[in-house]
Amino acid sequence: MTIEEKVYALLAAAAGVTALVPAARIRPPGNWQNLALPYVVHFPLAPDPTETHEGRQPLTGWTYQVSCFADLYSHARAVGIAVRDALEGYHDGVHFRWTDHIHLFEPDVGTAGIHQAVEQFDVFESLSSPL
Amino acid sequence: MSHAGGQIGKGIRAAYSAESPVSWVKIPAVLDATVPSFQADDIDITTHDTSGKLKKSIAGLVAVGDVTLTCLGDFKQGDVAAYSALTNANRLGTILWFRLEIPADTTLTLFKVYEYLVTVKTASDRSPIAGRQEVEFVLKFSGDDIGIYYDQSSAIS
Repeated sequence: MTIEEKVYALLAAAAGVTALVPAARIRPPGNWQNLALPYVVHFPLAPDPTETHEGRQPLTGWTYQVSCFADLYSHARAVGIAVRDALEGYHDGVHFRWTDHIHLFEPDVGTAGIHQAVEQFDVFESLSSPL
Repeated sequence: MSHAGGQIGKGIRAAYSAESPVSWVKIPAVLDATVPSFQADDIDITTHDTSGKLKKSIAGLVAVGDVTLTCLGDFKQGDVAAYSALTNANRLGTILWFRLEIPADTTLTLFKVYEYLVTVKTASDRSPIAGRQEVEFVLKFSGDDIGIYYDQSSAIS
């Protein structure tokens, strides 16, 4: 299972998240501008594999970004908080550590603009095989 | 003979033996290793007869630098016998045989080898809140000589 699939499974199973964003609107990167708001786009950044002199080890770190898109600041913020609460901590051997929150607003999207709450995590997972 | 052009340092292997004749036990998951260094004392032999204003020295006894091994941590009991053994050797002051292999070719079939007696000066665990667990061992030269061998096959598996 990829890290994206693991994150999706956790978010789709979190009642606090799906109360605000149905699982079908939790997506990896793609052309989602026609999705109904709110929706979530999530993806890994900057892998940090553990390399020893004898080779790459299963422990892999990632910076992971979850972007929460909504029509209002308060809606985007609420989704971001729900995502943070769902992912923070240990889940089946994968450790998520919430590290950053950024808020963005794009006024030229749609009729009234779009708010984006960006939640960033440090993720550590043990892979069954190296990347 | 021409210079080979250099290669990256990945491929170091380390092992210890508690017995002689040796039976090498691999020290696994080495993240970083310092290689033994050799530094001679300065013995000043400047005399009134020494010409000019220059000091004159000879090389004294040689100090062997400590080897520091930093390994990926595994703190589950029984998983890595080598870490427990080195920690016990630190506590008891046990003298062990130590072998360090530095890759000498890019296919990792030939090694420059250091082989000598050591004591474990330091054994420490690390468990940082936001980083990977590690164990660190500092090994101190404790013998009469160091064997340095070139173009050797690995004896560590």
